[in-house]
Amino acid sequence: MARHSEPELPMAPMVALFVLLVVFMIQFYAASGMTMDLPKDLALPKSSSTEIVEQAVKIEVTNDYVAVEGNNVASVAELNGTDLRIPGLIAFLTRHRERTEAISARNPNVQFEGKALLVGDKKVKYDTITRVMYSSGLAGFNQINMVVVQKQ
Amino acid sequence: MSSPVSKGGLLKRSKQGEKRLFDVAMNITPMTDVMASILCFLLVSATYVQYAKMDANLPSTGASAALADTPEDEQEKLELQLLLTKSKKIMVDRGNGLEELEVAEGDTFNWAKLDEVLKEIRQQYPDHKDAILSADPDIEYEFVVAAMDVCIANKISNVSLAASAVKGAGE
Repeated sequence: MARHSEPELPMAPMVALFVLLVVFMIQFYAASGMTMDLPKDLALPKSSSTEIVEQAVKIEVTNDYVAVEGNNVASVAELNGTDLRIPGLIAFLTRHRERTEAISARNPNVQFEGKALLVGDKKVKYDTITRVMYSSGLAGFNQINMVVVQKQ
Repeated sequence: MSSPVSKGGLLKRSKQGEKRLFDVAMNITPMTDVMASILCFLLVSATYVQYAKMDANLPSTGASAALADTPEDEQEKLELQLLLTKSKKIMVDRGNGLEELEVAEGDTFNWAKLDEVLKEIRQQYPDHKDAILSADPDIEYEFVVAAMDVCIANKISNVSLAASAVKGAGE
């Protein structure tokens, strides 16, 4: 009597392929540097710069609001007049600086470097950008890095 | 369909002393499941956008004061300033007044012309790295970044952003 052998799907090549893909994806993650969660209404300008973004306080500027680390500190509609200061931004960044300096007093590994990332929408007016930079400077954040998307 | 297993065998001696082949195949289904889950997670959460940074400085008064104290022969001869106007004109000041660059066709700035001018300046002053960029308050941020991009491409890496120019300046 003829014996029926059960048909079996060879899984080994598929598993090998999966392993390769997973290794590739993990490598890709390691090489892509900092990742950022951006609000949907924020589109970054493009640039040919290739300097890697380092971790720092993130100041988001859109056409509607200015936020620090996701906390809304000012409305763009209110930014007018000759006074370039943004009180909400200055207050938030000053608190952040004081907190970092207090930690730094107890832990020498933590240093306040005055670095901030300016994450601005490409359609934001230059006036808003200068106000944000000026206010950041007043709060002690003098090293502003503009975050851009690398041109392909 | 039967469970996906990799075929294999192990030779063992039975109670009667004869050698028999036992099927000891490893079940790779859980591993495949885990791999597929990890792969899906990585693909969904992967960011294909590469971010970069550009250094932005506000012009410091301290720098100007320090420059004023240095002997004249040590001072840089060039004080390069760029101005972007609302009507998409680029003005360049090499220390001898504002010079208006050719306007590009369409609703954009003439970056090619700026590139040409900066290349000229680089030839004349190979060590010069500073520029002050100013723009109309209503200019969009992307144009400021584009202007900085052209400067950096021409090795003018120390671009300071001046506070917004007076509305309508250079019109």
